[in-house]
Amino acid sequence: MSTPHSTAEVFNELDPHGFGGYTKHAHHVVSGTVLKVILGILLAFTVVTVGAAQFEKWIETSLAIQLPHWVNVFIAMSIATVKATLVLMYFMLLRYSNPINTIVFLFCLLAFALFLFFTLLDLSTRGAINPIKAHQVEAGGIGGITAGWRTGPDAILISQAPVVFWRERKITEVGQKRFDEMKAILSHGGHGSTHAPEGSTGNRSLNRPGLTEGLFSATAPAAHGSGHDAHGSEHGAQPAPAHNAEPAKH
Amino acid sequence: MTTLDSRSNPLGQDVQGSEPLWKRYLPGHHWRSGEEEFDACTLGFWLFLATEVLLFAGLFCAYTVLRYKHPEAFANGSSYLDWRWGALNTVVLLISSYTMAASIRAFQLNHQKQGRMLLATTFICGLAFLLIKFTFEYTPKLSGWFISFDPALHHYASLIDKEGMWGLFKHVEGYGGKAPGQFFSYAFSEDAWEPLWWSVYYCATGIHALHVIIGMSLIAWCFRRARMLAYGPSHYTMVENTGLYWHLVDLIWIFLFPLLYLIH
Repeated sequence: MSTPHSTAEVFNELDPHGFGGYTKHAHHVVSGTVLKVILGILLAFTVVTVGAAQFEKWIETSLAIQLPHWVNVFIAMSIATVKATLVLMYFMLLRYSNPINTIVFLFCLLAFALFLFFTLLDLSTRGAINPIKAHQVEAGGIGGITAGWRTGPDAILISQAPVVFWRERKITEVGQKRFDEMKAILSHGGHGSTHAPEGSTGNRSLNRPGLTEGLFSATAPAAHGSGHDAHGSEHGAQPAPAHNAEPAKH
Repeated sequence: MTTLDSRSNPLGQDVQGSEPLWKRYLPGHHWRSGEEEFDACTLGFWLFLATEVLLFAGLFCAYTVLRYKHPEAFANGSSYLDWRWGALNTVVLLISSYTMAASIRAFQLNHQKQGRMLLATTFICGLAFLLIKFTFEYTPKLSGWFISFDPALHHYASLIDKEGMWGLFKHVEGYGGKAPGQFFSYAFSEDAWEPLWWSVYYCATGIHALHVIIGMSLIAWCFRRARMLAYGPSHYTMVENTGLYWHLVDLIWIFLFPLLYLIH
């Protein structure tokens, strides 16, 4: 493209400092082959990320090896990052355009990283603090929210976990036997996944940092006092007053 | 008329004759050249994209915190999603990203017809993405109503209790109710925190779907302007920025797909 102010010898009053030379650069036209190759690589990586997830499931179910949670996340996020970089560089043309655009985007990612870092820092140290506070948490329901979409005078108020409320309602409606039949069909299997997720077992414990174990759990409801022992030993904290049924008043 | 990108020579046709619209385009009087205007517009758009990324950053952060606290609920919730629909939508979006990039290239080379066809393809891919999402994922999960050719139906055949719209939709007893938060009413859940998973799922995919709709509107606008020959080698800023927006939508989905569909 032509810039009328590029001749340096002649003084140009529209461009007295001769900046024209810095700002003009032809638009880069990416070759069609490059675009097609990038699309191919992106599709291939989609196959890889699905394959990796299936492979991890296969390891866990067939070989009975429990992979740590971060393996799943790390592999999937690494592949996604590579894909995102390709899109940014070749489809969004960061490789060819003004570097200031890349700088803007990287600073944005830096802000995101800080955001996530401090959140995770807080989360991962919750367990160290909460045993002290644990006896202040009381199992007392969820304060009467309305169930389902209904509002107004005929809305049903519930003070249990919604999961428990709707399960018990269904059991009353169709009977336990029918409920079990339906559950066998509806839970896990029809929709792609054949992997039944497991909760904590005697051999493996999925930690749930920050709350008294099983306090609000629908599957393994635990009394307030009994959760303490697990917490105390886990973090080596002070033994909690397990016999004290009444929460301490502050 | 001055709209988003329609500034042209005020002397218009009298001076320029039958030149196409993109050749008659003049940059704003405060720019030294069209190049500078293009660079500034693009930089401005990248700043906007940064705010978009930070919008989704909040959602990704919520996902991280809640999954960290309730891994069973997230593994449970994710197992209701069919990775095949997610993978299909990923492929659709990747192809649409390619056609968008290729259409910018076509306008840079003044291949008008090819550029318009590629814009239209991108729009259709966006539409396909939304249709797949709403027909096979949102609707059954919220209401229990499946479209009659949904491959998942054969598994639930014994639980079909109602038909709607002359058999086009079939209702599976007990399947619906996987709604976010307090609207949750699914009776066969296995973890007390599952409503939280659905909140994250609907927020993340819902805001993403909203972006797909906005992106499609921008593409439709570009298509309309392209038919007036508004874009060519020396002026295609609007297509470029629409492309950037569309690629961002793709970028977000590249992360949402494994996070929502492939965890266990």
